[in-house]
Amino acid sequence: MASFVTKKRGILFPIALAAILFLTLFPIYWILAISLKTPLENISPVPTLFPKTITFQNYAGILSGGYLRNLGNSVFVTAASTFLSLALAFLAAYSLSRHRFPLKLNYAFLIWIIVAKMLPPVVLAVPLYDMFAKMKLLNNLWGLVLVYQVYTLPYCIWMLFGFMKSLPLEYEEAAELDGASPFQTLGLVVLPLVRTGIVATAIFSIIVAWDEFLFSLLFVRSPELLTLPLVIANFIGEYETLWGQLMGVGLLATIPVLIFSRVVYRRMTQAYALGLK
Amino acid sequence: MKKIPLLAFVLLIAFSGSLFAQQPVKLVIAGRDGDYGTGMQAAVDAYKVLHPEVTFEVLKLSGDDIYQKTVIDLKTGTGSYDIILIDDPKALQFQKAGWLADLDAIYKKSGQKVDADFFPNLVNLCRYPDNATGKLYALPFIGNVSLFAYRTDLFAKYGLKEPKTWTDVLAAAKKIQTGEGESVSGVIFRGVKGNPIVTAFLPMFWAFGGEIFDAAGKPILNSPAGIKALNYFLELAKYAPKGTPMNNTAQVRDTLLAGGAAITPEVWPAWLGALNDPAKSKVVGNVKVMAHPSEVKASAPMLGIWHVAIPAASKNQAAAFQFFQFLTSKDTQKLMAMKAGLPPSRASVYDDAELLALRPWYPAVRSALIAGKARPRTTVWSEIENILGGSLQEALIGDKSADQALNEANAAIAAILQ
Repeated sequence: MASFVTKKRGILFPIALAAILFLTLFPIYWILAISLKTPLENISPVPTLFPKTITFQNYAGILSGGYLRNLGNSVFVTAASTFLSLALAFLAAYSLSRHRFPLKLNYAFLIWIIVAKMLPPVVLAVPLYDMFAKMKLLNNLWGLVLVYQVYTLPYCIWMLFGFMKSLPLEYEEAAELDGASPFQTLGLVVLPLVRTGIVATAIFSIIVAWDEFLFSLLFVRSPELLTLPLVIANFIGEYETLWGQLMGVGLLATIPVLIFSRVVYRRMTQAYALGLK
Repeated sequence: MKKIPLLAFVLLIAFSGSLFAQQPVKLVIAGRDGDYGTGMQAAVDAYKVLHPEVTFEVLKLSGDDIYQKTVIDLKTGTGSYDIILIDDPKALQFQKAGWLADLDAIYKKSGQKVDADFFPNLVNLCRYPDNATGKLYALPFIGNVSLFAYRTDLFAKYGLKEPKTWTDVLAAAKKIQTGEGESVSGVIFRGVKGNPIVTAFLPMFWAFGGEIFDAAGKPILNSPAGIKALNYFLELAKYAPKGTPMNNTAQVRDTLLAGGAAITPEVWPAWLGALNDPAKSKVVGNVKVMAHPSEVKASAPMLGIWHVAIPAASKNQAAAFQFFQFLTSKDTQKLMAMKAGLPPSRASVYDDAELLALRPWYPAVRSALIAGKARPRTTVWSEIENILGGSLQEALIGDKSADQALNEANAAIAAILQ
C-alpha cells in the first residue's frame, strides 16, 4: 500500500522547518520577554530583544489583582452555561427532529431562534438588563450563565439538531420494541449515539462562552465577579497600557486553553473513533 | 415579675442605640481606571477613616465601559450606582434624559450652597438646560484641560525659544527632527479616528480661527480658516512618527515619557502624573507643560472635564451626597492631585505650595482652565466626532486633501443635524 508519508526530505526541509518554528514561537517568546521587562523598558522607543533586567513584578501584580479568582469565574460560567445549553439543546433538538409538528412548525422555530441569534447582542441587552434587575440576577454569576444562553443555546440546538437528524430511527424503534420507555431510549440509546455531536457542540459553546465580553461587561460589576476577558481588557487603559501585565495575563490565560485543547483533542479522537466503529 | 422592667430597660437601651448609631451603607461608584481610579481610591480610603459605617464598591472602568455600564443602568432605572463619573461631551445626554439627581434641590434641602471656589465656567458645564442658569446636575470632578508640552533640553540644544505660535511649533519640530534623525520625532499626537484625532486637532483649528458651528448652529468646519488649520496639521504631521494614524493616548503618553518626541501638542494633566517619576519617565525635569500657542487667535485649550453626579435612581442619595461633598472638597481635591496627579477643579488648590512643588505645570493648568473652551453642547457630539475624525484621518494618511476632507465632513454633519 502506497504511503502518503515520504522519508525523502530535501535540503530546504530543515530551513522551512526552522522558518515555521521561528514564525510560530517568536510571538510567544516576545510575549514572554515583554512580561518580564520593567514598565520603563516596555515603553522604550527602541524595543529590546532580551529584558535588560528580568522582573516578575508584572506576574506579582496580576496574581495580587485576583487573577485566579477571575479565572475561576470564567471556568465556572463557561462550564455551567455549556452544561445548561447542552441539556436544553439536547432535549429541544430531539423533540424538533423526531416529533411531527403541524405546518412544519419545528423548522419555523429553528429559523426563529437563528434570527434571535443574528440580532446584535446589544439590542437584547437593555430588555434583558431590565428583566435581570427585577429578578435580582445582576452582578451574579448565575445571571451570566443564564444570559450566555442567548449566544450558546441557538448554536447548540442547531448543531445537535443536525446530529439527531442524521441518526437512523431504527435504533430507537429497536429499543421501543425491547420495551424501553421514551426516557430510557433517550438516555440509553440516543445520548451515547450522539456523543460525538455533543462533544463537538460543547467545544463551540465553550469557545463562545469563554470569549464573551459584552454581557459580562454589562451584567457584572464587582471586581471579584469579573471574567477573564474583562480583566484582560482592563490592562489596556485609555491613558496607559500596562504592557508587561497585559502580556503576562495573556500567557497565563492560555494555560487553561492549552489544557482544554489537550483534553478535547483526546476525547474528540476517541469519539470519532467510536463513531466510525 | 421584677425582671420585666429590667428587660424593658435593656431593650430600650439597645433600641435607642440602634436609632442613634449611623446605619451601615454601601456606596457603589462607577469610576475611571488609571490615575483617575488611583485618585478616587485615595478619596474613598480617606472617607472610610472618617465614616467607618460606609463601605464602598469602586469600579475602575475605561471611558467606553463606564459609559455603557451607566447608560444601561440609568436607562432602566435600576439604581445600581450611587456616584458616577461622566465625560463632558456626554453629559448633555445624561442631563437631558433626567437620569441625574437635581443637586440644586439637594443643596437647598441641606441648607448649603455650591462653593464659589470651583471654576465658574466648569460648574456652568454641569448645569442644564442653560449653562449659566440651569439646574445643577453635577460638579466638576477634576479640571482636565488640553495642554501643550515640549522638551526644554532639546529646545536648548537647538537654540530654540519657547514657541509662541503654531508657526514656531512647526519650525521647531522641523529643526529638531532634522537634527535628531529617527531617534526623536519632532512631534507626537493622536491620530486614531474619532475622538482622539479630533481632540488633537481642535486646539490648532480654534487658534487658526476655525469654528465648528456658526451662531445659528450651522456647521462651518470648511471655512477658509478651518482648511488652513488642517493644512497646517498635515504639514506638522510630516515630523510625527510613521504610525501616527494608529496612535492613541497610550502611545503618545509612552513616547512622551520615554523621550521619543520633542513636542506633544496635546497632553492632558491627568496623563502627566508620572512625568517626574524616575521609575516611569526618562524626561524628568526636561518637559515644560504650558497653554497652547496662538496663531490668528489666542490660545484655545480644550476643556475635557469629568463630571461627578448622583443618579436620580440611587437608593442611597443622602449618603452619596455626603461623600460627594467630601470628594469635591478642597482637601480631597489636593489629596487626589498629590497622589494621582488629577488636576483640581477648585481654584484655591492651585495656590498650594506643596502641590506646586510636585506638579510645577499647575499654573499653566489653571490659566488653561480659565481660558478653556468646551466642545459644543449637542447630544450628537459622538456622531460629529466620528465623522470629523474619519475625515481628518483620511487626510492624515493622504487619501484626501484638506479641502475635500472638511467639505465632506461639513456636509455629513449638516445632514445629521437636519
